[in-house]
Amino acid sequence: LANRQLYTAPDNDELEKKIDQVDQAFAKVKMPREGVLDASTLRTISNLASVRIRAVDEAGSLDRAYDFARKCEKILSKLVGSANEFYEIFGNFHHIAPSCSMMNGRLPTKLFTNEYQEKQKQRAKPVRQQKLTQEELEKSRTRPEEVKEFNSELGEQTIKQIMHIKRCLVERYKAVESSPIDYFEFVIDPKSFAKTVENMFHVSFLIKEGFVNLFQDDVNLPALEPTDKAMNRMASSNSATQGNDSNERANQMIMSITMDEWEQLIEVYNITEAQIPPKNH
Amino acid sequence: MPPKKNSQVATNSQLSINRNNSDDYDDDNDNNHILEDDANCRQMICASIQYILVHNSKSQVIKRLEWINTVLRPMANDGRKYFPTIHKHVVKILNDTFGYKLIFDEKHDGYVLINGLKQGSLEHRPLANSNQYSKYALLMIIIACLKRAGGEMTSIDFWGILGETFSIRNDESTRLTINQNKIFGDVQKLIKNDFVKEGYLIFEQAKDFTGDTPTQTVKLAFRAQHEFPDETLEKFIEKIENYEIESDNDVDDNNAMDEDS
Repeated sequence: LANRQLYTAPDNDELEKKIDQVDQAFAKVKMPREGVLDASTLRTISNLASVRIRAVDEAGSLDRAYDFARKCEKILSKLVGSANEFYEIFGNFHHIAPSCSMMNGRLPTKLFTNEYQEKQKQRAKPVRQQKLTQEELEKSRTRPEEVKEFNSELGEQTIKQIMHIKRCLVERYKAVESSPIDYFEFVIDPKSFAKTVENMFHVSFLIKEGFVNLFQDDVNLPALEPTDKAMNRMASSNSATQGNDSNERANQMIMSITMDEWEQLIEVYNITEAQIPPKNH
Repeated sequence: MPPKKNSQVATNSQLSINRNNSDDYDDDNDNNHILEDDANCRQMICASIQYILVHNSKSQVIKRLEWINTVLRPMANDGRKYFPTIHKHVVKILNDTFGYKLIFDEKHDGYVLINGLKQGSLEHRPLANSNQYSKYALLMIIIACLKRAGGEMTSIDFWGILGETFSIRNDESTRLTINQNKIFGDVQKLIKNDFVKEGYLIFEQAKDFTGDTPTQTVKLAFRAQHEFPDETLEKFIEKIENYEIESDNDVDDNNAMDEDS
């Protein structure tokens, strides 16, 4: 860069000397990389030559620009008002269109009213929401739904099936002269494992609702007995407490059954026919 | 009735385009005919002139599309169709009433307002605002230097000239140091920001001759070429070179006295 002005000066032959040096160096070039460097140097020399040619032109010269700037600096340093005074003296040569500072007030055109309206919209204040009253707050709160009737959870179809099973149990109880009924014998359907599980599910509701008592018999196997509620009998006033004890026993059982167990139970109990017939039957 | 007005305007504009520009009398008649008959067109012309005069004070290029979208479209459904007619009338009115020239810059698709009046011998006061004198003084010096150097120079030479003569460095202002020039103020903002935005200078990236690092070239932009035409600039440079400074006169006198003795 330091030599750049030397090479681009019109009255200097440093560039020609450099070209001669490069030509001599090219004679020793053997490797491709050296050839690339030579080509790059040639490009630089050609660009500098073009700059020198332009500098030869009378209209342009860096030295003349420097001289002009120095003269301006001298003038500025001598002027009392510095740059302002400089422009007052020489500003006549500036073809500038003056700004419309002589106008007073806002121009009454649609152009600026549109801009004004847009600005107003941007500055629009946010609408405050009214405070809710206590009642409205209470209503808007999410609360869990209170369950009052258990049967409302069940579908209509399930309820009908449960009532059907209750009737079957009562009829069976009467048929065996009011003796307890074995649990497995009652619920198992030898032809369908799924039906067996359904029967167990429905019987559990009957037990929960108090229609059926579940207890262990003499051989410690689960047994079922319909309650007075299922039989639609009123408990006698004398033996109210005893009747309550016998009819409403708080027993619980968790039952699980697999297909293997179901088959084994069918074999053990020698069940050939389901005691709970289909509802349509 | 809108359809008729549109057809009237279209017919009149076609007539005005087909006529010769040198036929001023007929042009004036046509213009008066248009202005009197189409009130909407007249309103658009007035609004356009207001728009141009107000936005000229910002010293930025007036974009053509912004002119159409801000002025013409809100005032007419087919505002864009009126643009050639409106433009022609606006150019004529600005020239006849204010002495301004509305010049189109193809590169930026915009217009620049230039003072087309020739100042007489009695007019010595410049037309810029007094609070911008220092800015335009620096601008005039820079443009004259670029012109002397052939219209462009590398940024290294550019900052070299400014640094050597006016102590203007190419340093950004930081929180600790503010690059303020004693004479011209915040020169970095002026040269790199304002002059470029207003269309006076162009800083262009160019590949270095070695092909490794890119260099920057400073050129005269569109507005500078019209606000400082060659003839005016030559007169300015001549006046600078002929301007006598007292110190120079004192040196000459001293030299003369030495010679006499």
